[in-house]
Amino acid sequence: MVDLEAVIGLEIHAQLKTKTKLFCACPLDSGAEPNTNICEVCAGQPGALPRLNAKAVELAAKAGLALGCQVNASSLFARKNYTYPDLPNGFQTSQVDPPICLGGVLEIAAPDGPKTVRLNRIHLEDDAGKCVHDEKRGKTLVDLNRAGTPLIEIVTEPDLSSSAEAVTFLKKLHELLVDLEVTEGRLEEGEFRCDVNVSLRPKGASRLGVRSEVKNLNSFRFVGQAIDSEIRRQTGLYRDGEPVLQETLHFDSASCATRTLRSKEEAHDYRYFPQPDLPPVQVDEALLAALKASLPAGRELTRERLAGLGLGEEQIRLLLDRRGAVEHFDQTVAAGGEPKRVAGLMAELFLPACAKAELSPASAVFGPAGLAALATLLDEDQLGRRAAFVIFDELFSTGDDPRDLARRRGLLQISDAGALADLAAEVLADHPAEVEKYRLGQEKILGFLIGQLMRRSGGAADPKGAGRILSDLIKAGQ
Amino acid sequence: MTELWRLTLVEAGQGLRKKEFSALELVEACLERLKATEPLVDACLTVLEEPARRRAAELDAAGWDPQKPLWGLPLTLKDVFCLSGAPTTAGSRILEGWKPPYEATVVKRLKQAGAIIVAKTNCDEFAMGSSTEFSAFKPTKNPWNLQRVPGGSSGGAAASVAARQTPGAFGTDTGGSIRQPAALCGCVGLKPTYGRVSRYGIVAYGSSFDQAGPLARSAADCALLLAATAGPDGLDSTASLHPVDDYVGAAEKKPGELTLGLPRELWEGDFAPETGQTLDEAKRRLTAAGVKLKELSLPSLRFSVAAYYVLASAEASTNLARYDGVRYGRRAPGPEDLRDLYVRSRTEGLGPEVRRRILLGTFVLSSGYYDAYFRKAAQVRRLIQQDWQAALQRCDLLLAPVSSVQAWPLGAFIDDPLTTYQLDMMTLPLNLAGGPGLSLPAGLGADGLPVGVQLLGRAFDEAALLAAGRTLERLLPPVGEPPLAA
Amino acid sequence: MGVDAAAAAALARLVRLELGGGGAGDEALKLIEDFGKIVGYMDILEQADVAGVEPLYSPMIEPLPPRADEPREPGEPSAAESLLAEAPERVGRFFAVPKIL
Repeated sequence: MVDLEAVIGLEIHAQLKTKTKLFCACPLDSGAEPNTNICEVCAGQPGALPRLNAKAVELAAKAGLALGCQVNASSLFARKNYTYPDLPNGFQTSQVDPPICLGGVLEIAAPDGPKTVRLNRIHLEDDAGKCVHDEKRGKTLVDLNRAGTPLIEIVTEPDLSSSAEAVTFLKKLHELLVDLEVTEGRLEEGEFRCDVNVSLRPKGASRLGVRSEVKNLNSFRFVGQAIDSEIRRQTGLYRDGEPVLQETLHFDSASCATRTLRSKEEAHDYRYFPQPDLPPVQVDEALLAALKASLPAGRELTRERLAGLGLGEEQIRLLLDRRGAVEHFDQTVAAGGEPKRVAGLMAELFLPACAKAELSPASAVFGPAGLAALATLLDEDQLGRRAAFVIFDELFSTGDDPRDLARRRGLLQISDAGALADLAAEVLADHPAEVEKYRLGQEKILGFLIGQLMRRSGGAADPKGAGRILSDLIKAGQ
Repeated sequence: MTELWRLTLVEAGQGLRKKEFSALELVEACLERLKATEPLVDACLTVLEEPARRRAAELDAAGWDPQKPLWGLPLTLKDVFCLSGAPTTAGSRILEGWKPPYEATVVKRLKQAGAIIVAKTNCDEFAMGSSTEFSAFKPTKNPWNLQRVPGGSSGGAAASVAARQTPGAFGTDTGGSIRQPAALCGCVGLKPTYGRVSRYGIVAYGSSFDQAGPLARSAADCALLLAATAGPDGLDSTASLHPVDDYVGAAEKKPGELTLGLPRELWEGDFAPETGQTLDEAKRRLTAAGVKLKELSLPSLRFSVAAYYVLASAEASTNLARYDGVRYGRRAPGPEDLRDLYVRSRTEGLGPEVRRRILLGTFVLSSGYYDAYFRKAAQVRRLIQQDWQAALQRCDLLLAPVSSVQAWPLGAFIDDPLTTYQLDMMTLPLNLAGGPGLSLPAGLGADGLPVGVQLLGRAFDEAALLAAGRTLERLLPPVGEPPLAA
Repeated sequence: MGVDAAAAAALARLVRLELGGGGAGDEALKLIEDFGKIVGYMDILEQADVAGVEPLYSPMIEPLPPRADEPREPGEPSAAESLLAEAPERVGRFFAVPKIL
């Protein structure tokens, strides 16, 4: 049987952190008695009309900026028509074409290195109410407190290939949106929930297989389990030569298995069309500028700024990915570190050390001043790269001054040519046979002499300079 | 004093201000007239007799107030306006018995201006219809001939004003529902620009078309009612921020200063003989007085009926999805299951015309048909608006017939929906384009039934429309009072 | 194009209606026939040349900007109680419907 690979896309619903609902002044549900936070608008009464919450627009645009989306100056609400008791208007107010944000990316760590997950879109929509099933009475009970709650739906491209990747992605997205105060993101309250689309295809094939959709997962664990269960189920179908059906599934957390909610034949015809009760959603330049300025990480701006300092893409990514890393970088530069050098040190030494010690950059005892000093030693050739690696662990755990430690370890490079020449002359005097071989054309022997000089200098000599001095002295002695 | 019900709004307002009679006396006169005429015309669904008396007495006790331009004036509301605590049915069984706990912005503003709501008037169910025969409760009769329809969907409002039950009324116009019944009943009706008057609290039919407006007996009366209700509303995002003009004080135009464009596509139709004769006479009178009439072409108007019924039905099909028997209104008794609850509540609660339009709207939005019908109709709507704007650059206002026929016998078209739709040809284009229109009596036909013309203007230029309306009122023959044996 | 009985029934199902008002079959037939005629008439739209024309979904001009994220005035009575009072069936503070299977 051919090897199969999973193709996974996610649709994430995040509840926006507003005081009021998306289209009316009702407060958001905070566990109140059923049907207390309702009014004629969110309860779908005749003649009631929606009025959009400006804060919801701001938060959606902010999420878009942070995720590198194109934020549309004008987008439209549409009615998504279907019937359910918890949907008071008989339609959900959502966005289709165009949504408030298009495109975007989020990078995650994957087994084969960093992976860019593309976003398709972010759109605004309102939530439905809740149904409670009363077995005893044989009734379904409808509570509309949640109806009209503002959500963004973030839709990814099918760029993920395992449950682990999907969970990594979700955790990172969750952390980002919570940090930005776009959502409170309380998973247990359903404020951050996810639908997953899973399909399989022969490894390397470009065409997508038939996908199934698992709805409404409200924990990272369930997302992982649902994906694994779906991959297992679909793999079994492939093995048995059965077709995968396009269907919507429910994940049962007790049995860790999915079951069919509805198949394509019963699929809705949502009859989307522009919602005539709402003007286009406008995001003007002034709002965008204000939002960019308000982004704590200023992710896109920061990316541009760091690129402007000459940092490489990989270095920028590493800095952006770690909370507090950009701030630490900026403080280090402010303390006199050369930006590219600082970024290199952080990428190679400092951030991995933080990760290993499970410390945030700000809480490391080796602070920006120390890191700046270390960068300067390297820049001025007072410390070799290798030497820096040798002493870094100690610097990181003690917070010592790099110059002091390097001196104590005798690792400070002797850039003074005179002092080094004296040592070199001693080496040549001690190894006349080797000097003779070099003279006769056995140039490789110079490496041995350099090694001797390095040892004598306690490692402080710069190997290239040492070689030059030695060969110059030998030639001079002819 | 016994005939206070004969006064127009402006006349009644002056009498109240001069304390020639009290608000209560005026309300009593209207209630008396209403009781006398209602058995003949069936214009009202709910008469708010006691609340109206109470309100009049309160106003009298507080005294005339210069801040309240409609102080003490009795009005009716089409039964699509939510009036707090009063039945609001939209002419439908599915809302029978429902009392909204909130109020339409128009109603709030009318009350704030001192108006007294006397009754809620009959209409086609959910304002879908042109004859008021699609009211789930009863057909309204035309005061000029009780065997004939009053037009619709604001037929109750027009019949009530024509029967002198109150001097003014509020209706809604989605595809002609103010202008056509006004014409068929010999009243004046104004459809303001889309967004001029808030739609909040008005039971929705076609959300991008619906517009509330007054019906009364003169352009000046309509100006008074528009002035009290126009302007932005924090509850309706589509209500425009465009500045509100002085409608009451707008200067009347001299006939020689008016150039009216005649859209060929609307004047070329097949008119009933009496209608055609009356319209020809009206044009002759205007020309004789010095009004310049200029024929124009708006070629895309021939698609109006199709574009309108596609778009308005689409909006209606989802506006009416909320009537499901779950939260309010009629629920079918003893449902077997949820689906049965939905299907029976809706099928029993909604009449045939409403169900027809829901099906049509669902069809044109459904997968595979959206582009061919809904999107295409929206593109045609753009063409119609462009034609409209281009035509209005070549004249002051457009002048058009309101209907190709006068009031028709009850039941004449009830089984022929497509023909009824096509009868709306002259009023629909305005709603597609979004502008304002004023329907005025053009005289009585030889058959004794009123014929109407409409002035159509630029967006938000109701002032020009009303000023020209006052001019035309002087030039066209008055229709007078219907010969109601009350 | 026309719409046959099966298509009309499918549309009706989608919007929770029954053709013919649940009454005699004749009414359903008449409705389907009328509906077919109406849809047939709409085909006149095919004749409109709309190449490159931007659809006009609403004639709204200068609409309101979005509202500030401010809750109702404290003390402003919520409509919740009066809305609940209109419910055809209630269980406690819930709207009630037959159980969803």
